[in-house]
Amino acid sequence: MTPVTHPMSVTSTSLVSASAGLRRRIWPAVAGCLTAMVALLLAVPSHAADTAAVPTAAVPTATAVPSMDLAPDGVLQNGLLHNGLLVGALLFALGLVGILTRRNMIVMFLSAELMLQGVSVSLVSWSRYHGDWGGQMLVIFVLTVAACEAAVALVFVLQAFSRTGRLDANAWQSLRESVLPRTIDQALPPLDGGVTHWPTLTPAGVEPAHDEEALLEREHV
Amino acid sequence: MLPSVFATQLMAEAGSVAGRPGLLMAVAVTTAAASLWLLLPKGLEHKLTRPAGFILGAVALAAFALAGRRLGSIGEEAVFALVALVAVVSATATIVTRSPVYAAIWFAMTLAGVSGVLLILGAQFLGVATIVVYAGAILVMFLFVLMLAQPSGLASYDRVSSEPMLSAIAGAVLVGLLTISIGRLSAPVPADDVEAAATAESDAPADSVTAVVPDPLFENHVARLGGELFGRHLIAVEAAGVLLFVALVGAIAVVTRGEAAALAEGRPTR
Amino acid sequence: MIPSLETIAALVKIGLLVGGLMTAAAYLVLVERWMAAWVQDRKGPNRVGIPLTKIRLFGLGQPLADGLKIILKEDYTPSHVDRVLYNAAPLVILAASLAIFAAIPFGSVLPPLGIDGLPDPIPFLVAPGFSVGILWVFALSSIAVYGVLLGGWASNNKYGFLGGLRSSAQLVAYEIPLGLGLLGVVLAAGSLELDVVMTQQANTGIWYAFAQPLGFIVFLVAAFAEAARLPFDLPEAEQELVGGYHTEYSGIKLLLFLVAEFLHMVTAAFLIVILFLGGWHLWGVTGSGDEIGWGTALIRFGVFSGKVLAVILFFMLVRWSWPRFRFDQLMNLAWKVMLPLGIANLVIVAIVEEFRPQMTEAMGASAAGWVALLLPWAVFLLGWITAGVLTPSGTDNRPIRADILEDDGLFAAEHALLTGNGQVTTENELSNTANADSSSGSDA
Repeated sequence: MTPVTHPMSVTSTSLVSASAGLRRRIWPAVAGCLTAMVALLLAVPSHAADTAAVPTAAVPTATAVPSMDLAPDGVLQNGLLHNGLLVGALLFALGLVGILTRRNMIVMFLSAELMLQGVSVSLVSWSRYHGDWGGQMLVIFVLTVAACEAAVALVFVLQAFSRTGRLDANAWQSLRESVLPRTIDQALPPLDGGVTHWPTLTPAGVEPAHDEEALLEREHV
Repeated sequence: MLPSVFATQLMAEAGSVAGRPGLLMAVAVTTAAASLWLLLPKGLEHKLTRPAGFILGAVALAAFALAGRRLGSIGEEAVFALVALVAVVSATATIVTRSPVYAAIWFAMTLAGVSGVLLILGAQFLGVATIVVYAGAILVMFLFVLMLAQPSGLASYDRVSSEPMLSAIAGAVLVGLLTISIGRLSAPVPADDVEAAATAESDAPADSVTAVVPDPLFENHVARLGGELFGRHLIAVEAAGVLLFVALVGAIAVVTRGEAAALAEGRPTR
Repeated sequence: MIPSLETIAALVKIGLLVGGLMTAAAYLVLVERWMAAWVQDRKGPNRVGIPLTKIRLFGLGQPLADGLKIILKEDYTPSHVDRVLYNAAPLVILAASLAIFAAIPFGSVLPPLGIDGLPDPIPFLVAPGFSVGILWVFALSSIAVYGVLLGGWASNNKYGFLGGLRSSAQLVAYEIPLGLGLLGVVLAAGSLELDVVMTQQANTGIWYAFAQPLGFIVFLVAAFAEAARLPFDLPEAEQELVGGYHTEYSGIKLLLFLVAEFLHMVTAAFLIVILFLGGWHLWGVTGSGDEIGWGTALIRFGVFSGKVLAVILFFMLVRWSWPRFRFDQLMNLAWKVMLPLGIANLVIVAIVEEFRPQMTEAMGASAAGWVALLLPWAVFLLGWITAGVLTPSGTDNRPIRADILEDDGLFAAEHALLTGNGQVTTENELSNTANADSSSGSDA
């Protein structure tokens, strides 16, 4: 595997890998973050209710529902809130990872929408918990903004695609600040079984003249 | 002999882990990060990378499921677990799958899961509206672009990702911090507090204790939602209308300008 | 664990509905062929009866024979398809078009049976009290787009793909007039539940087709397009696209696609009857309350089914009477005619509903009722005339002549795009035409 050394070769067709320098510099910080977080998680006491905000007591609700917090047999009724927030956090984080790593612009937008979905789930959980419309109202506006964002974003993606013929976000890395290192792509191994062999007939007769323009068209719809 | 001893020990370990939410979340978060890193496209992959990613992902999901709180009844828990699983698994698949068309399909599955979660949370209108707006309009447009723009086979930029390890760790840190705050928010109350609360509640009217907590937003849902939206939030609705209009005009202006410029420069248009 | 009586009742309803719909779809194909034969002045299928006998039964065995034939055909999967999506697409579209009926009532109510544990009276609806029924219908009809789009893409065939793209563009475009036509009814009825909409029409005695003629027309046209019925059957235009998005399908998968397509028409007929034609209500025959006996219940069911059948027959008659639209005409109709008309209808309905109490106070109930009825009709006529005057009778799609444009490439291209009625000619072609024009000019 030979790395493509020329810095301007980003537009070559088979590309990519990380800028090793950046990783080397960030690595200690990341390791520190992870260790600190795991330590924090381990330090969370299983009974933290005394210091934590006690849900219904701390949050006065307009339409106060009795025993929102505790049902008989000690089942926490805000379990729904907890689980909803957990799902929301997971969706948000997955969307974050997607938008950071993926290079296809459409997949990046899908990841952004994923983050919006996470936020929506959290908002509706809170709305349910408080018995209040605020969260649901906000989600309606999230939907509206998402529709606008999708319309405008798709137009820009289409423009970018028509200029480069690629949906690759890294095709536009000339827009980066000049101090940032360029991402230099390396040649990728071919996919297994990428070549299909179709049955062929024995050629006979004179080969007709080929239409040069037709040969330039993509063979795939 | 040895395996069975090992299995018993493992079960005991798992039990003790489940009893300690902090440790459980730490396990969940680290396995999730590792699984994401293994699953994200990296160009060069060992054939065991993806199976290992799947196994670690399953472990992470199980840990997250154990960290979830109990709901009212087993049926409710099962339904919530199912839709949440659909949402999270398809979200993971959205970001790790190589083919962008499949990513969009997985995103549609995520929407189905999210809509299920919203229905369980009592937001009927939003649950269905999510499907109508996202799946019915936005995602179809994305699919159009993907299907028209995709070269035959996988594009090189779909087979690699930038900084998969760092991003997976960033995501893990985010989830970890969020779950720490969520855990502090609704940590289980010690058992004696439960007793005290139960006795205190027994003085209250009996039905408030025995009845499942009703959803205050359930009755006459759509009408009240509409009243709230066009009452308290009327200005915001107007602003959203203006935003939609501006987005429409902007999108059309950019696309016609771009096509015209492309024609003038002699570049091919679609 | 013994399921509750309510669960059993719901399961029975689902069973009846799915079985009834499948059978109805099979026999409606036969009816459609009879209709075609009648329109074209020939005899339709009339041979297949009971096998091994001479009994023909007017060809009533035809659907069974057809179904058997298509199921026994080889289920061939081409090697170049995307297998997962290729197999999933027919399932998605069929599941979506069946699940729509969870929120669509198929009659009024059964009289009380007097069984403990069952609600009295039993509504003819799988999911009664689902407060967002109409949105559910919308959501699932937008899921059906996926079946079409994925089927076309996964086939990896350019005819299939074009059919899929066309079809999904058409479905997405016509969802907007469909929604606008429907919003007027929702405004007037004040509910998103379809059975409440029917009850409202029965109570007032005025079907929404009469109260909102413009909304009815817009909804009807959009429903034709959503069901991909003939004036708008571009997704599978045989002459242009071989077979459209299901070109590469055969056997049982093709059957699933065809059944789903037929079910879309049945859904559209149900919706038209429920929203605009009064559902089970018929003046002087069915009454309007919920307290009914067996006789009234049966009459209501009969009236409802009769109306649905009539609308379906209308769909079929239109299929054999009208030529197909061209794709740009189809899109023009959606965005330039149906959308403004739908908005006009929505606005007038909103105005009428807003001021109805004031009007009743000012001039009495009956006069206010007449005003509320006549205003939408006035808007309907006005809209109709405006659309008729503004819509050109033909579309000129010849290339734009270069000599009428300035010698500015950007301007020319922009003009071509903005006018939209011509093929966009590239700069080369433009200059070629210009040269040809000037040379012919010098000759003259």
